[in-house]
Amino acid sequence: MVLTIDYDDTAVTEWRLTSDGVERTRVDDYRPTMYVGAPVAELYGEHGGPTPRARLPKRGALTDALADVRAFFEGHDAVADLSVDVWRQTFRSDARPVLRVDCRRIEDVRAVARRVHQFGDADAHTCYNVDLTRQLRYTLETGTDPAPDTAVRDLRTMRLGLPAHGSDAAALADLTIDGEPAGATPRAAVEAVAERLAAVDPDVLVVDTARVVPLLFEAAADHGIESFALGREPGYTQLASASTYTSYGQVGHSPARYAVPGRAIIDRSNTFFYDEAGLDGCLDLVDRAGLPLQELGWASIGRVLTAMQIREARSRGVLVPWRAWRPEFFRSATTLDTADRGGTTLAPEVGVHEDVHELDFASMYPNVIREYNVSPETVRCGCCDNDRVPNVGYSICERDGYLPDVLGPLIDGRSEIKRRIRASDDPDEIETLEARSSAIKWILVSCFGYQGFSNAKFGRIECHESINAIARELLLDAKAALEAGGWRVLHGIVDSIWVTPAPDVADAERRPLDAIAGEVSASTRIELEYEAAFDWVAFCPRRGGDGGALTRYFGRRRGEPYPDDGLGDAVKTRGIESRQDDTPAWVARLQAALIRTLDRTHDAEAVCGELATWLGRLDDGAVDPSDLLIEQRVSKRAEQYRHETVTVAALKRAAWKDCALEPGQRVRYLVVDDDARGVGRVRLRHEPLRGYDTAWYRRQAIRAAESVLSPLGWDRERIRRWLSGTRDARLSTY
Amino acid sequence: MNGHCGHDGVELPTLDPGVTLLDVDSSLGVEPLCAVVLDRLLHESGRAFWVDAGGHVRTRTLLQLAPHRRYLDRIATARGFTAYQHASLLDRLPRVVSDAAVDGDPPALVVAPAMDRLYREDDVPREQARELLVGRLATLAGVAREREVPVVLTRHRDDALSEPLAAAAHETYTCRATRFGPRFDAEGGDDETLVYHTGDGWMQTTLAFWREILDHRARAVDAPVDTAGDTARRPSTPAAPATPEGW
Ligand SMILES: [Zn+2]
Repeated sequence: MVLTIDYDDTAVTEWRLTSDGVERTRVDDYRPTMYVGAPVAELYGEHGGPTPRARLPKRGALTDALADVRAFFEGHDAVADLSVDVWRQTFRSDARPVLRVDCRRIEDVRAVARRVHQFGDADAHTCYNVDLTRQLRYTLETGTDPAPDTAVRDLRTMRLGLPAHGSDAAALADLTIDGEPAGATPRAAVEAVAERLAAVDPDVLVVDTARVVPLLFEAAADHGIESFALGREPGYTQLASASTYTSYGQVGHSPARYAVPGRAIIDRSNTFFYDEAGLDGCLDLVDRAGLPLQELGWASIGRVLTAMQIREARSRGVLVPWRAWRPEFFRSATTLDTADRGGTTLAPEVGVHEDVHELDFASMYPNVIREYNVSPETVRCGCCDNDRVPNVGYSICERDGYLPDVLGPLIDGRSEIKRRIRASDDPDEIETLEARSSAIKWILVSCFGYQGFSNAKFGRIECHESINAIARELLLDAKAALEAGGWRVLHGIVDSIWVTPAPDVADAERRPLDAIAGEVSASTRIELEYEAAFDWVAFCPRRGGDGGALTRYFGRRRGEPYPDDGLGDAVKTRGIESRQDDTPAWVARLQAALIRTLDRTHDAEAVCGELATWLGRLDDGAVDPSDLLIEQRVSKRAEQYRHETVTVAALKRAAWKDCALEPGQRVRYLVVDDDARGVGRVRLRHEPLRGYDTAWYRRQAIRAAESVLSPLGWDRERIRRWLSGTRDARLSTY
Repeated sequence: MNGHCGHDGVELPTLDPGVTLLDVDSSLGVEPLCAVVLDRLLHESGRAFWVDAGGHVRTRTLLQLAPHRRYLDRIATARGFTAYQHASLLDRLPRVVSDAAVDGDPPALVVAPAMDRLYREDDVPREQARELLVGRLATLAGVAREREVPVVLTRHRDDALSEPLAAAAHETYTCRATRFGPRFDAEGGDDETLVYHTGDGWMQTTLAFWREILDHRARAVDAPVDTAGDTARRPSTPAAPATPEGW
């Protein structure tokens, strides 16, 4: 069990917790390993069919081609040892001899892989276990438990806060340590950090941004504080530099990553697990996913899932491919059209409905994967012919897939946590458990989308399509069962279904929902749960031109009291403005108020009246500008946007203010004059915020009101007319 | 190049066996390529093999253009989303084509739109990109030769990387937007250009334009046309909100 692992040239240091500190062990003989295997055409291409038939050389021997590679690397600087191992190169192929290359240093792994491709044709060989992250790699290859041993003692943490816009040493004056200002000057900040490090001896540094690492070291050097160290030994390592990348149409930004000896760094700008689940939730995830804390500290959900898949693959004797060679199979355009349809929405009845009940399939996608054995290597396996996937007719292998084995423990683990939450009456314990549950939930909800991301290590689009097709069938099964039981189905979205008593069925003939749900659960093997009763639910129509699915709605939960402010659990909302991250706080609060008005009065004009009151305050300049800030994720560079939106203006202003933002980062801004040109349209959050553009926010407010009133047949034109009518009426009274 | 005699002067280029490069004005979208593929299926039996790069193949567009949705059953497609996947797909292609032929479905056409596109992504080292691409181009040329079937390529960009595409093509067509409608030209050809005289110039949408042409051409050769299918092509309009009394 390790806290963290440092690489230093040809040696590795393991750090373990002891009752009063840490113990460090230097390992001199660890050599990172990669593999070279068969040509691409042999694994993926030659037979075109699902089952690759590799030509097997003599037992235990390398093919001639691999023997040539071996001879080429003999005596190579980067290579410590060459040998023959037996592994499966894909989930669909049998184990066979591959060339094992133990590299001298971690940096050599990629270099060797690149040399392999220069040595032969680009597709003459396939490389494996090339791009594993270094701590995960070490724990895998040495069989080390990747979790720190918290039975010895709890982890000690220290938080370093740095404002998002600070990028130079001067920003250190704004540094906080565990929430308290560190010092008024960069020098004072460095000294304060050093002092606190000495006093606390933290195991984990929780940082707002990893940029704080080089900033502190540079400032220490500038001020002659030679002894300064963030880690338990001098120095730090930059693992990756900040970069903006394009990956198949998606622009992303990955901030620079750093490591310091003996301490794990959790970079809050780079992972949401810490904010979502806390340190305890992160440690729980380290346990379940087998990704060391330092790497969880900057991990996306996809990375965590990949780590789990890599472990499962390894346990099944399968290597991790470097390049995504495996393509989908040919199928007819008709099948593709059916398969491509995406999440199901049943034809909804737009408008407001009273006495509505919602039923949900529990964790539908992960459960489909598990119960129906959906996995990259089981879908269209080639050995079975059973048309098990509805509509598209794909077969699913009779043999157990690996993806269900990855997700099964997470599904069960989450159920177990939920059971403990129900059984507990200790608020602290409940909070801890809920954090754990939520971290797992995010992985479960993402695993489906990840399967469709074809560049993912183990993703497969047909897997994604199968999950969709099965899910669709389940929803239709549920619909049929509910209708047969005397209920009218109002709407269905992916895993949720809304019903109301069918008007033409007598109450005595209507079957109770839990009885129907029980039968559906038994026949589909996925729990159909009764979610909630609603006094009313409003399904919003499509907004002009968005053409998307009808997934915007809000509904009043029966018997759920309102909090003092906002909606709390009293109203469930989806897809409308108050649910969206980039909606200004004031607009979200306004929308909540409008929904409460609608609930109280059932009257569109009363809602307009409430809107008019809010707009009046906006017009008077009485709204706090910080409540009007818009937060958006930057998806491309300012010059790549096609239209001059306010977001573009904000990006340009950020660049102009010397804190240029990269795609993937977030920008927060206030619209001050939409009619102005360029950078004058907006102000950034850290600038002085005074006035705002009333007309622009008025439009946002009316848009939010339109969502609330659209189920009643009102559009924004009608709202505007009503508003100007009352204004005229008001004016005429003077 | 030969002009296919059609109906009302509505014509599409006839494809000869071998590699053909089709350069389509980006303003014309994916429709001209879809039209060429579907037109081939009107006139020939067998199957079209569509090796896609990224998300080029849009079944909705094909459905809207096809005189009958049945034609989509005759288009076999697989998509590469990385250069590596695209390369593997083309490795598979000869076998897939031969298996289909054995099953009584000979190839009518092979199409590889934006053939060079994925090889431009960051995860492919420059020196490998060309090698991978040229290797697969040879595979396609081999299929064209052995199966005596047209192979239609389009390119994502006209530059050094895609230069081998033009070199491998025995014919290059361009499809340009003109004020008379889209026009196919054979590169180096003079009097054999095809112009679609649509009378009033452009029709309301390019989609409807191509659909019209394909329907004409299907009728001319008695290929199936779905006369009832028009309603299925239009998205249904949502009903007016249903709201109970007292709201
Ligand atoms: Zn099977």
